[in-house]
Amino acid sequence: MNRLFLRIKICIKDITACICYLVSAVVVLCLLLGLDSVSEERSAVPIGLINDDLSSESERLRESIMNNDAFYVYEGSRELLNEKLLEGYINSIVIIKEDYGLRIRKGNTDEIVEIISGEDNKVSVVVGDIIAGSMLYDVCAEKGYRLYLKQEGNAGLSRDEYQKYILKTADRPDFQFGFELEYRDANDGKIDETSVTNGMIYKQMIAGMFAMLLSLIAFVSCNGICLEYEAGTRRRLKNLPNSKLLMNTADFFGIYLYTLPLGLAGGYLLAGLKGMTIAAIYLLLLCAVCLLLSNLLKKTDAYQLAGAVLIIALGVCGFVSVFSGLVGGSDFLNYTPNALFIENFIK
Amino acid sequence: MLKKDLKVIFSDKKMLLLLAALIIISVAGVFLCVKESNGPAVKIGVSDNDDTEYSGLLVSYFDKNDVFGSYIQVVRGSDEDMEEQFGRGELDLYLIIPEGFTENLINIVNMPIKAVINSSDKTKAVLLTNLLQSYSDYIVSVEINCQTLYDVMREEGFEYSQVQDVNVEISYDLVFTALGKDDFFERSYIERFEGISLINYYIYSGIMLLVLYAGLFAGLASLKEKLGQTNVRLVSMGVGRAKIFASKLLAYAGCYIVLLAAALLIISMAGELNIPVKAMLFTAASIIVSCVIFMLIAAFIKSVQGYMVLSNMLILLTTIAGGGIIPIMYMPDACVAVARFTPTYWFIKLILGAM
Repeated sequence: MNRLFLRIKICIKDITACICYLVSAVVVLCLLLGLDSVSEERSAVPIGLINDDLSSESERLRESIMNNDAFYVYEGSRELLNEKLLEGYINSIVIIKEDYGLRIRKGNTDEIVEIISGEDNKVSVVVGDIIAGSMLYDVCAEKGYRLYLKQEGNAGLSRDEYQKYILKTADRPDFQFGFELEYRDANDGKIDETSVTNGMIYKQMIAGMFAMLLSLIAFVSCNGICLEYEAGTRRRLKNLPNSKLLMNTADFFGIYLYTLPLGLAGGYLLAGLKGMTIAAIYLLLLCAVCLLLSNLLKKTDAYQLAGAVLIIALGVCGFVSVFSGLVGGSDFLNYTPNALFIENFIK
Repeated sequence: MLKKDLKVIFSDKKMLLLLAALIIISVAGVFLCVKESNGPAVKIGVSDNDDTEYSGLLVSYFDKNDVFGSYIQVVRGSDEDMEEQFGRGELDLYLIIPEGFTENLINIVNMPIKAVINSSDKTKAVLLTNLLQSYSDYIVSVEINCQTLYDVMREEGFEYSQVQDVNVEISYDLVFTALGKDDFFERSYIERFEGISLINYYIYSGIMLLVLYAGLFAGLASLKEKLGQTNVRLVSMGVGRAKIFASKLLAYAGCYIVLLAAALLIISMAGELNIPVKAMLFTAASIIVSCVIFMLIAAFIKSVQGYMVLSNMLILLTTIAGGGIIPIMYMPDACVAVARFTPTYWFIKLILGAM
C-alpha cells in the first residue's frame, strides 16, 4: 500500500507535468463536450439553399427543407454559397428555380430545381432524394387537381379550395404512412430499444476521440517508469528486498488511480454512469498495456515511438470500425479496444 | 555539427530497429485496410407477399437507386428465409410486403410494410432508417393526394365506379411520378475535390499525425540534450545556440522527411493511395514546421514528463480541432474558425484540393 501511495505521490510531485496534464485534458474534454452538444444538429448534411422563385409552392419547399432534420441549411447569395462549396463547408447548393411554382402548375416538372455539387458526390444524390420527398407533395397535388378538372360534371373547385381538401386529409392521423419499424441485434436476436438518430454517428466519433484521450492519459502517465529506468532508479529498487510483482502491481494501481478521476469525470459528462464504467475498464486495460511497454522498452524515446504508433493504430481502427460495415472493412477492426469502447459507450 | 547530430540519431541501433519494425507494420496495416475496403456493403432482404407490378416498383427503389445501387444487394425470399438469413447476420435489413398491399394502398387502407433493421452496426442502422424515412415520405405524398381526389369526387356525387377508376389511374400516375423523381433536378458540377473514401480520409489524417509526432521526437531529443547539459557544454565550446538548434532541426527533420517520403512513395507506387507531389512537398514543409514548434516548446519546459504530456495532448487537440477526425463540413462554425490555425486542416485541404 505504501508503494502505491508513493507512486501516486511521484505522479503528482511533477508540478509542470500535472499542470500540463490537467489543463490540456480539460481543454480536450471541453472540446468533446462542445461537439457532443451539437451532435444532432451537426450530423445533418450541410447544404446551401437559394430560392429564386416567389410562389407559394417554392416557399413551401423552402420551409420544408429548412425544417428537415437531415439538412443543416445555409442561405445566402450565390457567391457566398459558391465559396462555401469550394471551401468544402457545404456539400451542395440547392437552387429553387425562378419559375418553380408556375411550372408545377403547368405540370412541367422537369429540372425545376438545380443541385450544384462536386463531381461524383454521392451524398448530393441523397440530398436530391430527400428534397424530392418534399416536392412530391405539390407535384402530386397538381396532378390530382388536373385529373379532377378533367372529370365531367365536377363542381369546379378552385386550386385553393382543392388545396384546402388536401390540407384536411394531411391532418388526418391515419394517413401518416410509416413502416412497422423494428431494430433488432442480429447477434443475439434481441429487440434493440436504443433510439437510432443521425447524431449517433457523430456520437460514435466523439466516443472514439474520448478513447484516444484516455489512451494518451494512460500512455503519458506510464512514461515516468521509463524516466526511472533512464535515471537508474529502477535498478536501485531491484536491490531492495521487494518482489518485482509487488512493485509492478503498486505501480500499476498507482498510475491507474492517478488517471482514473479524469476518465470518470469525462465518462460521466459524456455518457453518464455507464460511461464512467466503460472509461474505467478501458483505462485499466490501457494502463496495463502502457506499463508493460514502458517496462519492456525502458527508454523514453522508444516508449514514445511505440506508444504513438499504438495510440494512432488503436484510434484509426476505432474510427474506421464505425464505418467498416459500409466500406467493407475487415471484421477484426470491430474487436479492437477502441471499437469495443465506441460500441459500448454509445449503447 | 549536422554530421554529429546524424551520428547520434543513427547510433541508437535498438531505436532504429524499433522504428523499422513499426514502419513495416504501419505500411502493412494501410495495405490491409485499403484492400479490405473493396466490397459490397448493405444487404437487404425482401419478402414480397403482394407480388404485383406496383410492389415490384417499390422494391426497385432500393436496388435501382443511383446512389445505393452499387452498395446495396437485394435478395428475395419468403418470410422464413428472411428471418433465417437475418438470424445468421447475413442481412442488414429485411422488408416484408404484406399480401394485398397494393390493393389496400389504392383503397386507402393503411397496411404497413414490416421493416427489421439489424442494429448491431449503428452506422448502417442510421443510413437505413433515413432511407426508409425518405421512402415513406414518397408514399405519404401519393397516399394523401389519392385520398383527397377520392374524397372530393365522392363528396361531389360521382358514381362509385368512376371514383374507383380515377383512383387507380391517379395511384399509378403518382407512383410513377415518385419513381421518376430524378427528372425534377438539373445537376451541375463544379471542379472540386471529391471521391475520397472514408478510409483514405483517415489515412491522410494519420499521415498528419505522424508529421506532428516527428516534431515531438525532435523536441524530445532536444529537451534531453538540454537536461543533460549537452547544450551548455557546446555553448562553452563556442558553438552558438542558433547553430545547435538549426543542426538538430536539419538532422531530425531531414531523417523524418526521407522516412515518410519513402513510406508514401511505396504506398503510391503500389497504387493504393494517390498522394500528389504538392501534398508531399507540403508534408515535408510540415515536418520542418512541426520540428521547429516542438523544439521551441522543449526549450521552455524543464521536465521530460511535462513535455510528454503537453506535446501529446497538443497533438490530439490539433487533430480533433483540425478536422482530422470529424470532417470540417460537419464541425460547428466555432471549431472551423479554430481549425484554420491547425496543420491538419491545411494538409487535408491540400490533399483533397490536389486530387
